[in-house]
Amino acid sequence: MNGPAFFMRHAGYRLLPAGRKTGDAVADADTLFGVSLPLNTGKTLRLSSCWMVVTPQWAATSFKAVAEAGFRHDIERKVAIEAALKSGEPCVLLALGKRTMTARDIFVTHDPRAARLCSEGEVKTFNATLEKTWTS
Amino acid sequence: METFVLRALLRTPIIRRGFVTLDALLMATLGTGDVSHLVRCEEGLYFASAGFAVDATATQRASFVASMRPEHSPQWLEVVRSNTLDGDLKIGLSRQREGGNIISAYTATVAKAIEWYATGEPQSVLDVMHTVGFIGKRRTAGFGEVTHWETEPGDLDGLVGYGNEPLRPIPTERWTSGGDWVPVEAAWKAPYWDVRSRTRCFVPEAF
Repeated sequence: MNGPAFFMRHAGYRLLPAGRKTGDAVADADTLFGVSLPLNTGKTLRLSSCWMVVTPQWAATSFKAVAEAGFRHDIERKVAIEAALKSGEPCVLLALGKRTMTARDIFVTHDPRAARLCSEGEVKTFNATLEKTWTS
Repeated sequence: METFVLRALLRTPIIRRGFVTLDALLMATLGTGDVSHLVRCEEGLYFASAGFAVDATATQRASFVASMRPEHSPQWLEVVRSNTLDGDLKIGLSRQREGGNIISAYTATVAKAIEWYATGEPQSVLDVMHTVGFIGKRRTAGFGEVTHWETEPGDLDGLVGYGNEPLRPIPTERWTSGGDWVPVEAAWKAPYWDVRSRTRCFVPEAF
């Protein structure tokens, strides 16, 4: 499974308005990053300037998504990334700035030795097991 | 079909983005998406390795500035066209800033040659490649100039190296050689630029 498909299955389709779904994960991911989404404050905002950690079991974000989307907001980014990488399951790590993200920028991390931190137009690959805080 | 090594001797540093697999190089040269008559292919997976640098002595930064001026380029003018009802094409200062100078930074490798390992028809591959004068990125700026192409019989099939390491992106479910390799998401078949061609793969560590 590629990055956009993984992201949309476990997080993106919870946010994308039903009328915008096409079933093509790549096209839907590009749509998702370009539309205004409802916030828990009542306003709307494009999916930007936030972080997301997506695993098959849970997804955490700093984006103020509506509660119905089911994202975790109870953990900090560093803790979420470490928990996802240590879970042994694939995950997607996103760090979104103000520029629009595209589907091609999303990569799944399959192994903490090659963790991939995805941003707009840039993917940083690093070995998380070499971090000072890493304890297996 | 036989195992062989294809070698491109370089005159200038080469800029590589990605794995530069031999099948991709052949497809780009021939302008086709199928080169199975040249290189062995099983269910979409070509027995053609990534391009490995030979005697790489150094790397260097290479940066280029693309000056994207709306007033000079009709195509760019269309992209940043004002979103007004009357189709006004006047571009304000703030939108002009979306164009301007854009820097693209690359890393160039200084190497004696680039080598590929593959299973296929070496003479036919050489016939295709011998007319190619430049490989890699930024060819028009002089990078990746090839002085000579050559082939020789090889031991590697294009998938698995001497240390049982992957020589190109290979989907993990199709990897049978064992070893503790790090899986990453990568494109393993053409079109390599397409997100839909990416999956969980073992890839050469040199990249």
